[in-house]
Order: sequence, then C-alpha cells, then structure tokens
Amino acid sequence: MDLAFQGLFIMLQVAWAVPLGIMIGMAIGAMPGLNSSGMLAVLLPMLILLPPEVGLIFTISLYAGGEVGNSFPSIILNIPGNASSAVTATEGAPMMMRGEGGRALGLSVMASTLGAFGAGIMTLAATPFLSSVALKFSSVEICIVILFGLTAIAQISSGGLAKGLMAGFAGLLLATVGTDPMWGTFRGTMGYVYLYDGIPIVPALIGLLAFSEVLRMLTQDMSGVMLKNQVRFRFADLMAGAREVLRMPVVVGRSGITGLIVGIIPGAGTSVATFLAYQQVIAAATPEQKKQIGNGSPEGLVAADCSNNAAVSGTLVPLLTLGIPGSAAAAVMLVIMAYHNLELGPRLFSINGDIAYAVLWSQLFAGALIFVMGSFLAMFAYKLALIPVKILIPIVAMFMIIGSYGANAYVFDIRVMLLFGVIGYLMKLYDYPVVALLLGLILGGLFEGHFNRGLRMGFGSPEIFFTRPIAILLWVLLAMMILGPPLLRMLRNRRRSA
Amino acid sequence: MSLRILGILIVPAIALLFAWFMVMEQHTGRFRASTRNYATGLGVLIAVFAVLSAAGDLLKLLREQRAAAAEVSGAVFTPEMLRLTAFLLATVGFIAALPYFGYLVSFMAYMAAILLVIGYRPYWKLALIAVLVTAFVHVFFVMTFSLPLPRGYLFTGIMGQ
Repeated sequence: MDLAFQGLFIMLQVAWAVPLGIMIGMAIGAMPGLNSSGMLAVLLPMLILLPPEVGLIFTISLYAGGEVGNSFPSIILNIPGNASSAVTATEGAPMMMRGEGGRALGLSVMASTLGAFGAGIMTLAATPFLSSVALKFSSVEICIVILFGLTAIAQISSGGLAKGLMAGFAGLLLATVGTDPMWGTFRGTMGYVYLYDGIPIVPALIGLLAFSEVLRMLTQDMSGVMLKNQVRFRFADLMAGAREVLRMPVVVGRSGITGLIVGIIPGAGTSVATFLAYQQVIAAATPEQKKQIGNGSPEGLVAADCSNNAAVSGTLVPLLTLGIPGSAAAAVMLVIMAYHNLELGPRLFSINGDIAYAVLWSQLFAGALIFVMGSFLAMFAYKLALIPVKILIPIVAMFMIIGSYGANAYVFDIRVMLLFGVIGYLMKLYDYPVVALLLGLILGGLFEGHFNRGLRMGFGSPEIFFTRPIAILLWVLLAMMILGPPLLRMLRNRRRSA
Repeated sequence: MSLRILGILIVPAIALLFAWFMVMEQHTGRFRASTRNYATGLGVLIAVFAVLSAAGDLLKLLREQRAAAAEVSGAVFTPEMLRLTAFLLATVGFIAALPYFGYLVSFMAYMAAILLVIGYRPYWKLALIAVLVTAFVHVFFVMTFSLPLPRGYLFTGIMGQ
C-alpha cells in the first residue's frame, strides 16, 4: 500500500508528462497514415535521457494518446494509421459520410476514455493477479483467443459469406509469406530480403484501406469537399455521441475486459483485442443491428475504441510484472527501464515499486484527460473533411507514403502499399470485404506460430487443444459467443409467438 | 458483358493464382509436412470460396443481363479510369525515382504530377503546393523526427556520402 501511495506522489510530481504525452500522441495519431508506435522508436533517444519515471509515463501517455488520435483520420477520412483503428474506419467512416461525424467522434472519444480509465483502475488494483493469469496462457490458449478474432471473418461478409471467407483465408495464406515460424525456412519471398519478416503489416494496411480509398475518390466526382453535404462540426453532436456510449454499459464493459485481458497476453497486441471485441459485437447483434455492421454501427465503433485503449493498460502488466513487452510502446519502456538500471521482471515491484505504481497511476490520470483533450482535438481534426478533395488527395498520398516508409525505412514498403492499394480497390469495387483480408493477414502469423507451438506441446496431437482447462473454457466461451445470441433470439421469438 | 465478367473474375483469379503459387512453392521446395499441409489447406479453402463467390456473382449477372449490359455500354477508358491510371503511373514513377533522385526532387515531382492528373489549376498554385508539401516533409519528418528518407544516389553516390 505504501508503494502505491509513493507511486501516486511521484506521478503527481511529474504529472505534466501525461497531458503532454497524450497531446503529442494524439497529434501524431491524427495524421493520416502515421502511427505513434513508429514515432516512439524515433523519440527513444530523447526519452531515455529523461528521468526514468518521466520517460516511462511520457511513453505510455504518448501511446495511449496515439490510439485515440488514430481514430480521427479513420473516422473522418477512412484512413487508419494502424491495424487497431481498421475497425474504427470500417464503422466510423460511413457515419461520417452520412453527416454523423460529430456523433462518431464523440462515441470514439468517450469509448476510449472509458476503456483507458476502467482498465487503468483494474491494472492498478490487480496487477499481480493479472500477471498470474497471463502466465497461465500458453500457446494453446493464445491460439484459441486468436481464433475468437478469426471467427469475425465469417461474420464480416458485406458481399456474401463466400467472399468473406475467401478474403479471410487469402489473408491467412498471405500471412505465411516470410519465415516459417517453426523451421525458419523462407516461404513465398520470391528472393526479396524485405519479405523475410513477412509482408509488412503497416504498408499493407495503409494500401488496403487508405490508398484504395484514394483510388476510389479518383473515380468519383472530385469537385468540392469530401463531405458532400458539408455538415459542420457541432460540439453538441460530439457530446450526444459521448452520452450515447454511457447507454451501452454491456458493450463497454465487455470490450474493456476483452481489451485488458488480451493486452495482458504478451504478443497479442491491441489489434487482436480490437478484432475480438468487434467479433463479440457482431455475434451479439440483433438482425437489425447486423445490417449496420460495416455500415456505421455505433456498437462496433465503441467496442473497437474501448478495447484498444484498455489493451494499452493491459500491455503494462506483463512488462511491469514479468519484464515481457507486449507492444511497441512496452518495448520502448523496457529499453528505458534497462537504461536506468531498473529491475526488470518480477522483482520490479519490490525494488522499484514506486516507479511501477507511478506508471500505473498515470494511466488512470490519462484516462481522465483523454476525453477533454480528445474532444478538443476532434474539433480541429474534423476540418480535414472540409478541405477540397483536389488538395486533400496529394496531402493524404504524402502521408500514406511517409507512413508506409516510416515503419522500416524501406522503399520496398511503398511498393507493398501500392500493390495492396490496387488489390484493395478491386476488392471494394467487387464487394469483397477488405477487413476480412486484413484480419487474416494480421492474425494469421500469430495463429500459425501459436498453433504449431501448441501442437509441439502436445507432441503432434491436437488433443492438447481440447484437454487443457483454460482451453476448454475458451472453447465453451467461443461456442457461447457464436451460438448463444441466435439461440436466445430464437427462444425469445418462440415464447412471443406462443 | 464480357468486361463485367472479367471484372467479376479478377479478384478470385488473383486469389487463386496466389494460392497456387504458395502451395506449389511449398510442395516443390524442401518444406516440412506441417507447413505444406497448412498452406495446402488454406489454398484449397481459398479455391473453394473463390469459385463459389465468382459463380454466385456470375449467376447474379446472368439474371440481371439486360441491366448489366446497359451499365457497360460506355467505354472502358472513361476520364475517371484514365485519371486513376495516370495516378497509379505517377506513383510507380515516384517509387522508381525515389532511390535515385532523393525525396526532395521526387516528392516535388510527384505532388505536381498528382495535382496535374486531378486537374488542379492554376499552374503556379500547383507548383506552390508541391513545394510547400515537400518543405513540410523535409522540416517535419526529416529534420524534426530524423526520418531517414532516401537522399538519392545521384546526389550522394552509391555509398551515400
């Protein structure tokens, strides 16, 4: 308890780092095609020179702000900056196009706030317990968790189930390009050294979602601004969207917990959390709500943003308790901790516990600030939609190129963006769900690696996937999630007709 | 009608080609059984659903034959498609030029090309925007965030000095 209060005292002394980190993170995230993970790597030399508590708090605040900021170009321009904002783009952009941009931004900012704040409270209260939960997840359980996200492929079928499944499985096969996770052989690299680590996700994402959108804009009427009905931003709309989130406690609670738990699992990441929470919304949707999925579903948008911000807090748990970074920001924090000779691993809380608690308290503070700062930035970000299309396209193209190049500093990645942009354009033209391909691409590598490791744990037999206690629980949850809502609806309809 | 059929088949054809390439590569190369089986399984699933989705769309097209024929009565090379093609060519040209001419020249030329393609006028504003965007890239990304954009072999030599 003493350590917790000491941590609070330390955090209050350097509390200025939180709003500054959030603002910078939001500003970077709000630039279409950019993401805060890449910027963290660039800022690392500066971050390690700061006192350790300042550097750590600044890093995690920047990451949290970036996750919120990424939502703005996703909603306003349909140009996500990272995988976890792909769902935000899928649901938020249609809302923007029909003049509900203020509402969409309000939903996004409030959902992010509640996700960050709720997860902040839980990590502060239960970090040692949560880390023991993380330790119980082996490759078998992680594989099933990823399967939760992959089942969304069958449900994101805007053009028909066959198209969704084809796109999803193609994404899974695309994810095999690179190095075999078990045997180290190169697959599908065609001799390109740049593909040894697999297809770069960020350029592929920017190409599939953003560049394809620019190509579509080129084939449409380019006079005027993107928002044809020129609905101006109204703060009242943003607040109405924010209040609407408070009327979705089930969606918020479920997504927040999902994001936190998935964030705790090392290597899963915010994108898995987002797709998982989204899949839960799809599974629980009524037939009327299902029609809105992919066309501006408020529940889908709230679930995505709530879970990805909750996952930010979740990634702190394995880092602080086990010394295992579960995200790019956590990896940067690990470098900062090592540089300042902080104890890495389970003894951090006993030796440098005050600093660890200061970081956890900062997330609570960040959660409280996100709404205020996010709403303020949203007002300016909305102006992007009012820029004439003929000026917007070159600017967005520039950001997309920088965003694709910035991840690895390879010109090859810009070619990847171009190729996936053309593929994404053709897919959109003929009603193939791009998000399904993206899902397969992002989750496929994780799934294959964990699946193979799980099989090795079971000495080649898949029986292990059905005999471990947590695995059985996860299968039951998966079955309940897929079959439960339609069964419940069927029972309710029968009772009504009877 | 034939153009529409071609359009319907293009995405499944790309998916099938890719699946065939990956499965063949892993069967003809020295890959372990687990990785071959995984790829084959996915390849078969892609093939099944590609055929199903293409067949579904073609059936739909047959049923709406008259409406579809009216839709494609226009030329392929509409102004919009030409604009799109020119944009893609400009992007390809930019990617090819970037390592040789560096980011300053390449970005300026690319921005100018895009603005020309999308019909932005007058020319002096077009040039100004190209210069301003390039300047923004230089100041914000290169100078502030130290992003190592290529400076171009022609200016720095192959060794980058």
